[in-house]
Amino acid sequence: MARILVIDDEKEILGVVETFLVRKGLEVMTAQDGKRGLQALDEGGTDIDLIVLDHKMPYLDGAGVLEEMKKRGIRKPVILLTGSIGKDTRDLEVDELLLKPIDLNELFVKIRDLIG
Amino acid sequence: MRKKRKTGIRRKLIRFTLSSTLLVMTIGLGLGYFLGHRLLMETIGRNHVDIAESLAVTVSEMVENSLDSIKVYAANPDHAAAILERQAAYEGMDEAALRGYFTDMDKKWASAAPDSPLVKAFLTGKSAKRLKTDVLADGTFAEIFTTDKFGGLVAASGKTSDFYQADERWWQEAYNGGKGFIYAGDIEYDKSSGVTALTIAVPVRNEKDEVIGVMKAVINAGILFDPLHRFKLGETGHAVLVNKEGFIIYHAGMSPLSKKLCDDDEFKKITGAPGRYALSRSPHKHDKEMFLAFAFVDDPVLAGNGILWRVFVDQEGAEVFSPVRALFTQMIWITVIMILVLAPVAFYFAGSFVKPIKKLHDATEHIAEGELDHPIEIRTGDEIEQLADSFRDMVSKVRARTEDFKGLYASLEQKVRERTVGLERAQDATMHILEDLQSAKAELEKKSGGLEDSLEKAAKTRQIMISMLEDNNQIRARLEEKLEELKSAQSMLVQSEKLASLGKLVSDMAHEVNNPLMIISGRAQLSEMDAGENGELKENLRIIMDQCQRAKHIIQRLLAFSKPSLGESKKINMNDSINFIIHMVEHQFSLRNVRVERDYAKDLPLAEVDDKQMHEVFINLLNNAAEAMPGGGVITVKTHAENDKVIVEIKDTGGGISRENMPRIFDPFFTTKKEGTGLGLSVCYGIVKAHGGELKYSSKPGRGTTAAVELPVGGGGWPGLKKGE
Repeated sequence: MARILVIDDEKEILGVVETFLVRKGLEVMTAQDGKRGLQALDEGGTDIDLIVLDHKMPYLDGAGVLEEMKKRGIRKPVILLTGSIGKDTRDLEVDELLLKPIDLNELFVKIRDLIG
Repeated sequence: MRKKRKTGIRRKLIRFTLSSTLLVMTIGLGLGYFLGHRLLMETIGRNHVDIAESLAVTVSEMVENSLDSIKVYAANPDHAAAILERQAAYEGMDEAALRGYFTDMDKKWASAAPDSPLVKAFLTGKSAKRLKTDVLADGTFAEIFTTDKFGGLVAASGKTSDFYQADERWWQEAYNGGKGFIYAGDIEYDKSSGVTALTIAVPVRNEKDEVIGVMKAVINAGILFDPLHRFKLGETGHAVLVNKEGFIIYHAGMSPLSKKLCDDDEFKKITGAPGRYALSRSPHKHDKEMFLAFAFVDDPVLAGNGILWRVFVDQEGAEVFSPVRALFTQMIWITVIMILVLAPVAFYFAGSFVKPIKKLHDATEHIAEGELDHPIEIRTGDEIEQLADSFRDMVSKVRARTEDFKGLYASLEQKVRERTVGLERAQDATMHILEDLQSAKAELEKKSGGLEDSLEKAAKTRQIMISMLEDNNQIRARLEEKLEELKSAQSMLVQSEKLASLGKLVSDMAHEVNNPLMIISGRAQLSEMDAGENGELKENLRIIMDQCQRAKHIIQRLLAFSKPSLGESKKINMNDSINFIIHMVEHQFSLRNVRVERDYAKDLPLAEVDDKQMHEVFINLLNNAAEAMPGGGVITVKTHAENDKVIVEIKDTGGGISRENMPRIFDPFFTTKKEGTGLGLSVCYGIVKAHGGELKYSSKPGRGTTAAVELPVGGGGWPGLKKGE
């Protein structure tokens, strides 16, 4: 069973995404900020197949998480959720970019496409 | 501001002088060497040929002398007598007996000692004694002997190698079957005399002039050609006698015979040379380059015997051309010395040439700094002085102009002052007149008697008042115009400030609203999964989700207004960009009776834009224009360039925008249409601003509206993007 890590600072969003993806038959881990997300990545290691990452977060934002992952040599497929597509998001190295508010079905399709 | 001094002219002058000297000298040297070499070769060649010629004459004379001597000897009757006496011994012998006799004698002769009686018999007779005397008398003869008409020896100056001589070629030629012939042979080594020698043989005749025998003389070549040996030219010049085949037959007191002057091809080349002289590598001189010139030995006897001799004068090429080489070396030295002498001279002259230029340059700098009185003292008497003079003229003209200008300025100030005073006076006068009027009125009321006076005054006053009112109106009109401009500038400023803060607000708000929207739509999606067959619930949830999508769309439009995300920028001709959109909408417009007229500028400069975003702007502006004319009309699209800006104007003939709506047209959600989000123009505004440009609207109610997109030529450095980061 594929394991997804969802990182978002808003609890409600974590709730909605987690419930939906679990119903779709995926195993879901959540983290409420970038730091905890990285911790989960360190601990969960190879068990995590894909990361759903929010862009705008306090302390450590999506770009920061991506940078840290690169530093630590963690290579996982990443889907970035963002409120707007501008220059700041355009240059980020992610596999997919979804505009908030996202359609959950679309998210599921993208996840399936990325992890097969 | 003083620039770094450059000293290029001096260096260039020196370089020019030295390089032209070097060039001229090099060409001169090369040409001199080449021509000198050729000339010298020709002169020396001719000279050497002359020398060879005279040597050849000498050789010919030598040979002739020897021939003359031998002829004289042969004519001596003693020899004829001895021959006849000897011949008497053979009388009565037949041919076979004679042959036997000679064979026998030859054998005996070969083995006989020089002092044996057999030999002595031939060396001691009267004839033999004479021959000996002759040989001794003339140093050139190595040996002389006579034979009878059968070839048998008669008398000899010394012991000959053979007794019987009729088998020798010289004998056969000289006897010539009894007719006689003067024989000369090529130079050969002579065994019996032991020297390299020239052989000559002449017939001996009796009193009846019949050939009765042959006299042969062997001439010592070493002695005969002694004049050649003694001949010397410079250090290395010699004479060489060469035969037809190219063998050296005499050289430096020796007759090598085995050596050739050079190989056959080279020999052919030299003897075929047009002036009879040539340069050649000669093996007999250790392969040195030799200068060779030759002449033929022109002697009838030699020629008659098929002998062709050449006297060569040979000299080492190095010696022959040493004058021209010495000259060349001297010239190189002269060149070096000339350059050494010229360098400081050129340096000095270049300095004196550059100095006044530098002076002039200093003066220009002073003058440029405002010191118009700075002196320019250049007395070179050439073009530079002319330049300085005209420069001085120019400065004085500038000074005069400056004075003129100052005067003009002063008089202008004076005029302004006078005008001000005039105006003040006019004001005073007006006040007085008003006072007068009042007092007149009072007076009029009081006194009716002064009515006529007062009327007259009133008429004058009215005249003045009218003219003043006219002036006043003009001033007011101008003031109003200025005020209008100020107002519009201020309103634009206010609008752009307002829109900037609004943009920030909208951006923050959009981000804040996104998350709740996502939660709402997410929850609705989850509920929809649970709804099962409940159609009404499902429909409600679908509406919630659709509305969330609508809100999302509005937010994206708002964000496009506050900070448009520009994509790839390219240099684009705005004529093409707007024309593309006009093509798209033209047909649709025509259905609504709206016609588009194009007025494009040729050679429009390119603007650096995101073409897709500009398309959105143009679609919005064209749609707004069309919608402003519900009953149809004309849209005029005009492009032109002005002050580094590319301007696209879209003008309609609609009802225009009212004065109170004008400041709000770019506000998000402001709309006058029934259907519309009120975001179109806001987005356009955001995009054009992001390009570093301006979007301007001007409108007069009832007379249509003009939208103008102003973009910086070549791109405005994308200020919108920088702001957005």
